[in-house]
Amino acid sequence: MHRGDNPQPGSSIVGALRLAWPDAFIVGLVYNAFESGIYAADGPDVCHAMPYPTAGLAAYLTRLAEVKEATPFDWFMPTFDAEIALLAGAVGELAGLGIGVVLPEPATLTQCGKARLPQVAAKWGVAIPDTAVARDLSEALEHAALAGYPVFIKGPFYDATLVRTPAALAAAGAAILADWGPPLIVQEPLSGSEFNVMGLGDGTGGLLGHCAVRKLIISDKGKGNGSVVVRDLRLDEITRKVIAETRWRGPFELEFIRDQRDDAYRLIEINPRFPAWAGFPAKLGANFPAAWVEWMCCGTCRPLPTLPPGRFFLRHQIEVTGDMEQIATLLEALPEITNQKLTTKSKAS
Amino acid sequence: METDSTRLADLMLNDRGFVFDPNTGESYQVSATGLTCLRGLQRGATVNELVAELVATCGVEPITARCDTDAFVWELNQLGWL
Repeated sequence: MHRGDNPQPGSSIVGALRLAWPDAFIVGLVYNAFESGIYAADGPDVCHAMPYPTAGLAAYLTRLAEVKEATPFDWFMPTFDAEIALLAGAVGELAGLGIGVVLPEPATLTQCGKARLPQVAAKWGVAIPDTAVARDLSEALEHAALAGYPVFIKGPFYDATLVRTPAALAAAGAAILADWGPPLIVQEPLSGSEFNVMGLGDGTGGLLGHCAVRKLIISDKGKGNGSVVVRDLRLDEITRKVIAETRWRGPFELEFIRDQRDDAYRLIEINPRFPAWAGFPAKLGANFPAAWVEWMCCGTCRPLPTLPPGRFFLRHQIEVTGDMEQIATLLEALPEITNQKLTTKSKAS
Repeated sequence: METDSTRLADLMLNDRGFVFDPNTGESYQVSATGLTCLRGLQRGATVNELVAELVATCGVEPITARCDTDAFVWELNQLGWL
């Protein structure tokens, strides 16, 4: 739910749902009591602290059951890649708890993960940057030596660092392994504008809607702090191809770079969730999170209009206010998790 | 030179010379003369017709208008608009 320098999708999705249903009862799940979206005016009605997915499925489901008992809810929309990877194979268990969820198939997630993308993209005929997958640091160093520095070193879910020397790669790779585990992805850096496409797949290969943007302002963390809607039939075609090939079900974000060398779009990664900018199209009438809730509930959704090119957003930081009592309430719920995370960097939700 | 480029047709222009390319998300500022040329090309005007329009409206010599128009068209080609 964080909306600071490394914004996460949760708060944006809650805001979009509020646009559609101002009186909806929304439960926010957080990993850190300092996630700013907890305290936003259009934020969730209530928030609960969760264990990280690395605690395992059993711990995660136990906590979800506790949350549901305390504040009943019907549908769950995970917004964190590691949660989705954990839960995609547990739809039955979630249903047993009375929690409705619609997620991509586990096999689809595996297929579209960073580690498998080079293989499947070649099969689909979709261009990607030169990429090698390493099981450990030693292999990553070998791949980088072959490719030549600089290279990006990436983890399976998050974190991408541009490194220029073997020592830098070793340091960045070790940090990624400690946070996320293997594999490590070694990828050539590309020069060119960055484009993102957000959308919803219907699970049969079709698109319920999509929105393509070019990043206008990129933060030092690589985040798009401003983007503008674009219309390029090539981008639409690649998106349709990926969604058709994967029979993608649910929200997605495709990240591209338009390579300066040949003006071709190269697919960088597929995120199995809404992006942090999901609230932007919603403000212009294309409310993807609301459409997805309707789809989950009813199997159909309101038409998603195509946004006109030229509409843009700029990320605008504001101060939200809270009381330490709110922090205390969150900590009391799950002290063994949230206490330690209060002093560490936030990665999730 | 006839042009029917989709990229050219899709360009969003305002009266102050601000140009937004919806394909790339890039924006540009062109002079009044450049705006005249872009709008002319969007209407399907030839380079000769653009030169004639510049001579008539800007009071420049035909050779100057021709050189400037050719240079401008070359830049548009570089951007993939023609």
